[in-house]
Amino acid sequence: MSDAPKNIVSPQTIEQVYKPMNRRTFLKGTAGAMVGMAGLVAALKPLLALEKGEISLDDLLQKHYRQLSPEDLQRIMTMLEKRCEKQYGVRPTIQDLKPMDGVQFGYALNLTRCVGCRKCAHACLAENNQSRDYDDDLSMSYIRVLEMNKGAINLETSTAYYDPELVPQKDKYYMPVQCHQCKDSPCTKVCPVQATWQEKDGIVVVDYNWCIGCRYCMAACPYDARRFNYQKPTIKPEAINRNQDYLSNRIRPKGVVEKCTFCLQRTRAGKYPACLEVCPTGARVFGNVLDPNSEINYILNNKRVYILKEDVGTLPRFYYYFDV
Amino acid sequence: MRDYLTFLWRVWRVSWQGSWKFYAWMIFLSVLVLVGVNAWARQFVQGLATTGMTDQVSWGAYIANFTFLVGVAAAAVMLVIPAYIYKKDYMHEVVLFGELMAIAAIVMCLLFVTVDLGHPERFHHMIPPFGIFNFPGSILSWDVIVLNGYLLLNLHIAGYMLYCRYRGTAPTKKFYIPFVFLSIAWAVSIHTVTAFLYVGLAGRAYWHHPLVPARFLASAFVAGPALMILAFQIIRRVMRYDIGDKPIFTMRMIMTVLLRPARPQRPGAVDLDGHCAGCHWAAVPGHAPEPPYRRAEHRLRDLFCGDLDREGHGADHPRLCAVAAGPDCGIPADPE
Amino acid sequence: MRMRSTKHGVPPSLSRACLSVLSLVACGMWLALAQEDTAAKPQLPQLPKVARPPAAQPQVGLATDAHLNKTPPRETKGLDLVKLGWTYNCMECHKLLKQPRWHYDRPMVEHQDVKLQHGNNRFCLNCHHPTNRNAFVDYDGSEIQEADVVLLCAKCHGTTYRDWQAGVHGRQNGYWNKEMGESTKLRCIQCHDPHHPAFQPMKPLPPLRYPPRAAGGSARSSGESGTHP
Repeated sequence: MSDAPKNIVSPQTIEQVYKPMNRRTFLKGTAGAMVGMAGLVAALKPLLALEKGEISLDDLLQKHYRQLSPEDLQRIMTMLEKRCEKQYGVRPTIQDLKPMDGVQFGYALNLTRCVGCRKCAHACLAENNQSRDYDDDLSMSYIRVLEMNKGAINLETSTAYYDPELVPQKDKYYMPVQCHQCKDSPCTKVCPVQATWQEKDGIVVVDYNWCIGCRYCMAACPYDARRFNYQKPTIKPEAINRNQDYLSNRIRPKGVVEKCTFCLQRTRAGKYPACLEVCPTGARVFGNVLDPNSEINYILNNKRVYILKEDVGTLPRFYYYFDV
Repeated sequence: MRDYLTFLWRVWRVSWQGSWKFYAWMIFLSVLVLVGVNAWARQFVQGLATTGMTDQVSWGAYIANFTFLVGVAAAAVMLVIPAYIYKKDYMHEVVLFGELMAIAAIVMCLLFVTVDLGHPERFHHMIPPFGIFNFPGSILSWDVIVLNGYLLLNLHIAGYMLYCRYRGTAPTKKFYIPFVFLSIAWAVSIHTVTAFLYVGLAGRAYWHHPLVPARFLASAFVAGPALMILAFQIIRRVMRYDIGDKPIFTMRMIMTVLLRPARPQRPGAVDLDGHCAGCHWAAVPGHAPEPPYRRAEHRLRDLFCGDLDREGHGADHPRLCAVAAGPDCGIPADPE
Repeated sequence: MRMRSTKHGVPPSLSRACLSVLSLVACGMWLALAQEDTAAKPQLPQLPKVARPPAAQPQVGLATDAHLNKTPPRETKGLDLVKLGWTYNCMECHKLLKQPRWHYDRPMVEHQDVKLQHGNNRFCLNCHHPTNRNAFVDYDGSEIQEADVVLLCAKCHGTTYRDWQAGVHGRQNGYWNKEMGESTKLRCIQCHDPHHPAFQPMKPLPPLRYPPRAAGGSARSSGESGTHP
């Protein structure tokens, strides 16, 4: 090889390579294009299996939740109710509860009391209409109960798959992890389309009709609190909770991210979240942080509170505490 | 203008001409593409469950491929810099390949993101005025900007150079030299911003480190020229385009230099990471004071299996993780 | 504490007098003893004539939450009567029995299944009232009514009682916003068996299966092993 190639063999002008079109090449080209198009159509054939109305013009043109007028939102919620009835045979009541004034939610969990029975994780399913492949399918539950070795808070040695005969095990303690509704939430920051945001009462919500399913928020979340609908949600009609909210537990479309909202369909109506309702040992405490007499404030003022992964700087609204 | 349209038409026509080998190769590639399109169509109907990947692997596999290709695209500057800054004439013969490679890589990046979306039909949610573009809040939106900007820059430079060549005229400097220098800076920025996709996630301790962008660049500037060398070797064997040894030697030298900061660090080594292991690493939350290669296993799991899923399930796919992470993440695949 | 003073059933002086009377009639004329007892406490409720059907567990939480499993953790065999709402009248039998001489006297078969595992608290009469078995006993021997059982536990578990009062220890169900609805607060013995206050270990509900959702998708059958291979 010479040191300075002059590219003698390379084409220097287009005439060296360009052959003008004639009848023969035109026919050949047309035939090739036809074959190519046929191949493309054949390749795209699975798209025919899309359910009718699954992607409608209305859906594509729908605006972000916060830009919707109340009438539009009402119309959309009625449409969603109808769609749910058509697909699952159950007509839910979808409402849109707004955050209350002077309320910011806080949640505390007593690690001394938690026995790891997983009732919260299963109640979450019963309340929030997550997709389930079978009845006890916890994979989409918003709560992971971690079995931890006593002596340290070490996530590296924890497991969510524990299944002994009886809990609590002697040398273990249990730490349920769910969305911490961080004040400085990494998930809402990274969303490229602002499909997830923090409401006035501190709840981080997702607009399921706006999410593009990029899952960056899942990567950003330090608490593994977000779930992705890899397929169209499967849920038995009798398992559907009909008390639904647009931003929380309505049945999700496929391909969107969902998360714990502290059961805002309940908590914004004044009730306790489902996981607290079922906790047999009363390890969970929920309330309004802005109310000085609330139970959650009692904890924050009187107990030794631990924040999971505090060093990440997310400022959670979810606190762990011990009482000894 | 008319001349330009003729040019485009002829480029289009030329790109369909070739020997039977060319057609065989193109048909083979087309079949691959169609298989991919078919798989994507299925995925579009059934959801991402078609892939059968778990949360961590799904996101990790796509983003790792995406990052790798961003790196390849950014590595085009490894041809541009010798050609335009160090005025190596022989590099001018091949610099176009680098730019075309960058275009192809960026297009593949965008496709990777698209097939990874749960709702690709809602892509317009990112484009004002139809949607909301979360800029500058989301680093992903920065990435969209820099990637598309780099695509446009390279399309312009490569297109202009080809057009001049077609017309047989010397390119006017003011039409491309500013863009060339902009593209050099921009190439650094695409991979840096892509690195910040990871660095910005404080919840992922392994990624949350200020030197990740530097590491990304170093490894990309190794991986990119490596790919270019392979491409050059193939081109000069099967095509009528002569590429001398000199560009390849230059690429080789660049790689040799950059392998040092890009390779897995060793105990006591004073390089990019040996340095950081001693001083900065310990100061970053979530990082152990010991150098990270000792904790390679944990970190690997961290990388793709998340913090809450560390009871050893990640160990099922260490190879997958390592392969998916590629050279870009600088995983110590072989700690001594 | 304020509550306790208002709930004083019997003043301590009267209780002590009662005890001395009881010690006097030691040879055990059943009828006379019964009469004296009745005379001392004429306000005792009527004894049941027939066995009652077990009362339903008091509702925990809201009736609208039928889809949630809200069972409290208490699982005791022996003292289901307490769990079932305290419909029995203890004095039905105990008026016939003399006061036990020793703390651990249990001559009859009725309470043999009660295994007291309450730490240092080893004696029945630490909690149960010596003469009125329908009530509990305070420090000074006065009665604590069953409804105020929390005050009994507060005798020792002061900090827990304080937490409970604040709504932080134990279960609260219903409404967090007291303006929008009621909340129910369970009392100590609705969750804790007083004879074995530590919770019995329980069977955990089914675990998350590995691998999580995406792997396998709908093709995965429920018969698969639950543990990670």
